[in-house]
Amino acid sequence: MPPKGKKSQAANKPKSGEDEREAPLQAVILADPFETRFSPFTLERPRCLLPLANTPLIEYTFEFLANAGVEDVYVYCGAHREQVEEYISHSKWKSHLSSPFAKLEFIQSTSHSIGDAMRDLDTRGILVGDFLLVYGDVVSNLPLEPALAAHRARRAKDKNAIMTMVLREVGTHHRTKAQGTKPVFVIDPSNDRCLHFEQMPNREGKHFLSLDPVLLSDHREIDIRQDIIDCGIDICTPDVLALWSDNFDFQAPRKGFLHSVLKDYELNGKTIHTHVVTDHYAARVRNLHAYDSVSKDIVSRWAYPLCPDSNLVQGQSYRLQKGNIYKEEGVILARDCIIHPKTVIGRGTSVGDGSVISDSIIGRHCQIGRGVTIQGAYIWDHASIGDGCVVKKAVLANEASLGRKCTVEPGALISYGVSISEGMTIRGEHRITRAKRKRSHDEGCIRSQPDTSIVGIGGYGFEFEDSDEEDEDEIVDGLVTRGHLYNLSDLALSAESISTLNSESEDDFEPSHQRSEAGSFVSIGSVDSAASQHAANFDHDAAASIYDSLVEGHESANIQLELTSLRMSTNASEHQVRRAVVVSFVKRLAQLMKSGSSVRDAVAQVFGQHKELLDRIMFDKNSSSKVDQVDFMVLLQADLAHRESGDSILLSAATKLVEMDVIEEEGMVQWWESHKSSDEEAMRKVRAKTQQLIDFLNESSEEESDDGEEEESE
Amino acid sequence: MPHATLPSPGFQALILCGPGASFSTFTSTPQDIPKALLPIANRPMVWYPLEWCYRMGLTEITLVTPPESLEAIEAAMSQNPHLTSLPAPKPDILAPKDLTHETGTGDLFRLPEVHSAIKGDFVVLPCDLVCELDGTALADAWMIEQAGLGAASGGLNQSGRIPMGMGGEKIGRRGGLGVWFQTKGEGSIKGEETDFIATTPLPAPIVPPPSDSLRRDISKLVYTVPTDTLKDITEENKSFPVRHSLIQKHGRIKMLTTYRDAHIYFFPYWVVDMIKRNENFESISEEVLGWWAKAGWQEGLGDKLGLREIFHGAESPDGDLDASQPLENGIDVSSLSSTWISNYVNTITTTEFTRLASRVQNSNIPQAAKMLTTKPKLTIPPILAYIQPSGPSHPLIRRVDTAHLLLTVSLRLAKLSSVEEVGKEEASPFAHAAKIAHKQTIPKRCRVEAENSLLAENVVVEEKTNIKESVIGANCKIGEGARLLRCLLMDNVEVGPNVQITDCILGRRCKLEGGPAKDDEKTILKDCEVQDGQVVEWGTEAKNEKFMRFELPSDEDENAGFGDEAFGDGGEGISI
Repeated sequence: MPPKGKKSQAANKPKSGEDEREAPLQAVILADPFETRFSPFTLERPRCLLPLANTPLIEYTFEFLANAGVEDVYVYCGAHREQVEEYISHSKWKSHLSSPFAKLEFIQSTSHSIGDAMRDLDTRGILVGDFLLVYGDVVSNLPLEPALAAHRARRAKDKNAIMTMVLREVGTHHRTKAQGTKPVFVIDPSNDRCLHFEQMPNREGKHFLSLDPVLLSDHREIDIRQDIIDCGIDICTPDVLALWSDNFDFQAPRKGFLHSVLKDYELNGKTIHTHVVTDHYAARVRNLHAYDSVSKDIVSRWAYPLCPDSNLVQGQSYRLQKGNIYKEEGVILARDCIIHPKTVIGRGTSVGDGSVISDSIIGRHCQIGRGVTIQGAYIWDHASIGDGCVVKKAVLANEASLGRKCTVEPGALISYGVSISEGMTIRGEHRITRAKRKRSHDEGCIRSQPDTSIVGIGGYGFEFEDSDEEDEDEIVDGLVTRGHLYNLSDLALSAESISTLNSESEDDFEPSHQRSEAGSFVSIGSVDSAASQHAANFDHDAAASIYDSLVEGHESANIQLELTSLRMSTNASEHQVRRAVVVSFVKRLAQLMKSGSSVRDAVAQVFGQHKELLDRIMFDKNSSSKVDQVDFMVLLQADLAHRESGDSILLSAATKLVEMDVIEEEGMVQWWESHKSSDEEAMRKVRAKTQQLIDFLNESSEEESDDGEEEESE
Repeated sequence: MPHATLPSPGFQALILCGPGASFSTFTSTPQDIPKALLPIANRPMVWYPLEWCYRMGLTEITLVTPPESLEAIEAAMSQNPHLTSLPAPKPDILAPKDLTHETGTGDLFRLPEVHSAIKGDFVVLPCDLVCELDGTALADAWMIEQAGLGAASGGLNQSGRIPMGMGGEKIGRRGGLGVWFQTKGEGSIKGEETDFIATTPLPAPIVPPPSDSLRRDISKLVYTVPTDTLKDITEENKSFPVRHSLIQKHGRIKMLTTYRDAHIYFFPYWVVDMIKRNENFESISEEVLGWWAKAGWQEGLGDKLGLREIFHGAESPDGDLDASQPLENGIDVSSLSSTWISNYVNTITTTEFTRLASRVQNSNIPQAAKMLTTKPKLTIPPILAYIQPSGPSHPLIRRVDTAHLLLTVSLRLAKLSSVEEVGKEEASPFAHAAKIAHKQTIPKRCRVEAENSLLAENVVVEEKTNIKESVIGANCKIGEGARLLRCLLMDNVEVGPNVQITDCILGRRCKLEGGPAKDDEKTILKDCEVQDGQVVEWGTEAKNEKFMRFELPSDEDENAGFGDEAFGDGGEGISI
């Protein structure tokens, strides 16, 4: 929409004079939010160039900035800088004739987080006045003038009002809202000041939001709002950058920066304000779930004029047809294929006989065979789908190809150039890629081989595995919501957590409870009920550090040293140490097995090398009741209960442990007899195979434990 | 009263005549003068809630009082000119034998006498309420938001219990309504009692309410706790915890710290059952409202409070006549409207859920799973909150339960234009017929600011007095040269010559002795309270004191001496 952009800029120019604003309005686009939520697609392409309704994401952002009257734009690139530069330099935004921006520059840096990027910006000193900070994935048609005016008015009154966040009110339930980790803003409505920010569920696994009592006494009226889309549009002053620089440990803009600045209000005296809008469209494509819902919003014209038939990019020729079907020129449809409403089809795509397409977005030059069913899927350019395939709620990236009669289940992601051979079924949790990660300790050689169990013989691609992801302490929304992540844990609320009638003081101070299984992948191992925050961090840090050491093959003693120091610094219990060890060992086991080693080899490799470490976490060799050993085994059993072929791993691990004399025979028997190990169905199931070991131990309790070897070979 | 022609709103009113612990100076003898009879702007306190009821057309009124105050209240009801001037029928007075001044409001509802007196939906009022806001508007709002079919279903009639569910409790209708008012702003008092409340807006109606409707300020209560309790919570936790389940359920929560519960509650009949079931609900404002509000968003709490049995168990009463035509499901009023998109859709699925559950009851699915399926979601009718917007233009709502509030509210009422000034139509419901009952008796050489003062019948004002912003009860005598600023005088007070009093409350029959104008040691009282029948001698200078009976004997001789002198000089003062 270049004309509109120009117009708004023209309209803004005289206004800028009136506002006594000499400096032109500047904006920074964070093209790379340093996250991995769009993996595996972001391995090969930057996030801001991913197509949303067949238009690269960053186009929407530029459109928004142009409408907001921004003159200088700085694009902060992270990964895939060349691609971003290449794209933008050839777009209308860069050319002198059509660009509404006076200046469009790239900033290169080596930052690894938003925090680094902000500190880097501060040192460069290019931003002189108030500026807009947006992400390269903002989709919005809201006019920014009221927010800017409110910001400036506040600023004129109080120099400490350093930032205004633009938020969109949507109500308690809305598809475009974040589903997993929800932001909660606490606002004083009298002056729109943001008083507190938290995400829920929070890191500590607590089940409540903690408000500072000072807030309650200082403010007559406080709004707690979760009915909001945080579209990541911030109006900042240079003070914001200075604050980032002062606090070198801030990483994330909301849960880091915002949370801490608000918490330290007494110290720094800076206030952050909100501007909540109730109409117009504003959203961020922050994860796949948002990708899905924003695409739907655009197709349903909620974001008008940002919709396919506005043809934002030169050369697009979408036209709207009845029922929100958008087709570009040159689409070849077979006579008896059916296109249902809310579908976008790009140029050069051909759809074969008898195919049915609904609620989907299909890029350019795609080949869709006969009798194909596509529902709620995103098919990017040049993809090809063989006859008789069924694709539901999945993403097929550029040049991906499906053989005949494939089924892609909801939630599957198929990245660039992957080819799936005939008749395969791709399950919802698969993310298939061809690209290798440029990481030092990833086994690249194994990965470059196609994983035929997934893509089939003759296919090309393998399951993507990302080690970073586990570190994320937020629930990342996938394309398909897997169960009710958070709601499930609500169901699992024990009766105790309901307010007790008698003790008024305890009211609302609920004991944090075990998360349900579905929720527990958030952090490694769920947090013990009484665990303090520190100890909670321990679980996470320790497991991650042991795992890294295992991968890199560190010595047992070194791991032990690191573990001890971590334990000391966070005051974690022995039980937690054992859990961390179990979690990381099992994770390593699973990884080894996935890469092809047998159960036995994997167990030998992981457990065998670290007898010393294991010995140092159980201290009951000399007592008659082997509490620690039993605890260790229960933890191991519980962890394996949810793993694939957990029962055989448990058998060989138990055998190995007895063989190494890490767990004594008595310990093993006590474990078998303890009720913890046989309480639940899943627990009983996973230990079923280990019965033979126990039988053997009971029979030959006199014999040496070395005989376990024999047992295993049976 | 204006609404005599309207049909009755279908509520019965309960006015709780409680103790008045904060009025120790004036209510030390509850047999003689209970709190309910203390005068606010020359009318007994209980007149205000009674008038409020009659104004909105409620005639079925019950006063609940402890037996010890029964006689005094009965006497007042038949003798006090203000109370006798109220329209018929007279309110019933109920004095349950176990009711004491220490009984909590929750316990009160569990007393058998009170319990049986409630026959349908009811309004609970305190005796210390001064509410200019028309109750009809509130009742209107309740009916639009909450009433079920046949507004007063549920409860008792001649043939026994009316089955529940008819009014729509099962689908989340027929909840309650409370009123909160702003304590800060004009005439605010430091340290006034406040309640901490959290509310969430109601879903926006498709047809917006008219601009003068109270529904614009009505929201759903999700949390309430007195500020003192809030302090305990925050002190214990070092922070104020807000449960995630609340935030999950309601995207927008407004927390208010400066409002106070007016203790006006519109309750459907089932609330009595809830109070009866939960023995540990001590007070209405704190426990009943607090738990009810929480049950709205905390899964499982409704069951804990026994609400499931109340709403669903009432369907199988033993041989009840009304149950002979059982209603399969509650009538979803909202589904009958074509313009209202109901959010109760899920109730349909839950009822199916129940049926399924009853079919599979005997199968051998694990107990835990069974628990989940047999318990469909319980919809808790909401407790609504009318939060009066702050601003001077809004009608006055106040609870008068401290001496200071008694003074400020009286003075505020004294400022209302009288009926004779502006006519019956324009005047506030609390306006007196005349500001000064007998104008002709006021001497010329004195200054009485009529626009902000009230003088009752039979008040004697001598010359050269100066009366500003004061309320003076019946049969008072103001001596020559006395100066009264912002004072409240109850009945039969005698203020001697040349006494100066500011911001004072004088109890009944008390006497401030006067003296000569030129005396160095005049009686000057500021911020004082004088108990009934007290005599304050000439020459007392006091600030922020309470004159009570046990202080009487001190320094008698000395004061007596001054007194003599004062009388001696007094003659001089008059001659000048």
